Amino acid sequence: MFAISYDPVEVLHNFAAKYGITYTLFSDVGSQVIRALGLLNEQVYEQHTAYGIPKQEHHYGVPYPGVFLLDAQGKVTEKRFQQSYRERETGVSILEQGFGITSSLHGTAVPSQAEGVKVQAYLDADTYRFFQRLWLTLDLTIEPHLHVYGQPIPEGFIPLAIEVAPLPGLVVGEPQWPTPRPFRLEGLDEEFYIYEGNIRVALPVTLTQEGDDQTLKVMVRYQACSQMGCFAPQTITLELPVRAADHVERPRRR
Amino acid sequence: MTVVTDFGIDFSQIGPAVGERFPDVILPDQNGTTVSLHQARGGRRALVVFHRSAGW
Repeated sequence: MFAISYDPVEVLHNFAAKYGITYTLFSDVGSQVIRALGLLNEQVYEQHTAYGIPKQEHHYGVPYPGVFLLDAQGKVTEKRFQQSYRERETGVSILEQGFGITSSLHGTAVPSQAEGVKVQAYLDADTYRFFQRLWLTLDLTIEPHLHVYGQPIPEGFIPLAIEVAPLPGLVVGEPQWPTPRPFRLEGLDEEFYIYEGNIRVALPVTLTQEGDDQTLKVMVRYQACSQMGCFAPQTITLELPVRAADHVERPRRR
Repeated sequence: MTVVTDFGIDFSQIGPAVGERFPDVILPDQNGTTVSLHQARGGRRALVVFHRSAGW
């Protein structure tokens, strides 16, 4: 494990001593390597404006935050980056989303169910930090002999959809859907795409305002169908509490 | 849905690409010793983390 920042050796030394870090912390004073690798965050001042904080000149020189996974030959096999110095993923999501390693460390799973479908929803963690990207994962179990629809979908049919109720400062990204399988119904011209069995959907959520404990309200809408016909459309609602982490970062103010 | 921190950066175009050998990084470490990333890796897989600062 290696880390790179523009800090001088002394700052890194104190940091390593304080947190018991034994892996290499590279000191790239002047950001030469960061620049040479093309990773200099050029948007840092725009980001200060977006966050409503005064321009901090000493922030210039930081890289985009992210990680590279290298194989035994030193080739990049994965890279995961965030746009801004504040948006970072949790360790769990880097493992799971980035590197496909299932972690047993998650936020508490909340179960629910309705006709034909059981859902378990969980976040990366039970606590949030201001601007940290959390992945909301939903594990759906669709009863045997039933399916639900994915996209694209003919008009008049109800696709599997996930919505998170708005909260002040909550930003919800696009869900990552698994690939549905093509499906045709006898007697119908239209082509459908369906999900069956166990599927997992993930979407990124970011809380951009510091605050107290929140509850994310997640709605899963679907219509479960068999070869013979369809059940009424259903909406499963889940509530996921997420507490503000003890040391929520505060923007620097002069 | 618009993400407030979307600054339009396409990371597939920035930095070493997937499939490419990561360039060697030769810099001082937290003890002031000059270290080469690939040498220190010693033929093992590695995670290279870019972060803003250990000071702020």
